[in-house]
Amino acid sequence: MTTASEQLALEERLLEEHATASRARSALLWECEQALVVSQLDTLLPQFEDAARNSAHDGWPVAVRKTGGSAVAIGPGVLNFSVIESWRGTPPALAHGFDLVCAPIIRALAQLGVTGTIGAAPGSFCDGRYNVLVDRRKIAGTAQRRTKRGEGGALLAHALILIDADPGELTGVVQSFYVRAGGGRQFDASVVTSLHECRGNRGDRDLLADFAQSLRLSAA
Amino acid sequence: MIDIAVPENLWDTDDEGVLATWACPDGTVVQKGAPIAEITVEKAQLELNAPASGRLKILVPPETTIRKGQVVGTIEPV
Repeated sequence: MTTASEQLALEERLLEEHATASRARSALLWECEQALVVSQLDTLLPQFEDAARNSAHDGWPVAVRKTGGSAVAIGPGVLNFSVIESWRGTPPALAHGFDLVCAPIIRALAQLGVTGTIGAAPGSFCDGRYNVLVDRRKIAGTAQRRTKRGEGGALLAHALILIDADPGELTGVVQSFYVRAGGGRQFDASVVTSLHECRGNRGDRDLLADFAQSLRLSAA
Repeated sequence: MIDIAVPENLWDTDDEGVLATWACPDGTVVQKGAPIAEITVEKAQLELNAPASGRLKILVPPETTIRKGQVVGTIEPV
């Protein structure tokens, strides 16, 4: 399994390629070893270095991403979905970028009998207006990055989807980071869910592979 | 001297942003179009590009809340 840092580097490379020359839309689906992925703003927290060191010691090495938002914990059982799109002239609406990942996720959930909506989940880690929710609980979070080169540019839209990872564990990892780093944020694991929970904790085999396949079809 | 103003079309909503980082320190000679800072708006991180070539003067530190059109630095000819 790859690392978060390797996957983030691949996304950055693709974003640059799409910004410098207009290309067809690209999409990535990936899972990685467990990691705490923080934003550049998180690195400015007063005790960031200590918090990162402690997180790594606990088995959650820190990777820094260049999309917006705040810290997230990812790893096995979390599916990452990225879409990279070129643009020329006026940059597309922010909502367009989020829709590039939210719409296929909602369609893929529907294929598995789960109804998803878009909205905020106050108390969830890395909250925003464009989560995918199931029964008002966050199952997927999103972020974007945009780069401009000459008269055009490219956007990277990223989503993490909790398939069978433990929302409580992921929330706890993020909470510990902010306690140590001095971020003063409080999270509530009860507003986060996973596809496994949404399907009644039934013993689905290969749930991640099944959802990934649905997502591939939905994104095509 | 040329102002570095946050472009009105950098994002399409009325939200404020946060200047997350400067890509290079004060006094760096930058090229027109080069990414010089990162701005976050509603979980989107956007590059701010140099409007001209010259020496960068930073007027706004990281973590500052900003609005579209706001001047965050200047470029002085070299």
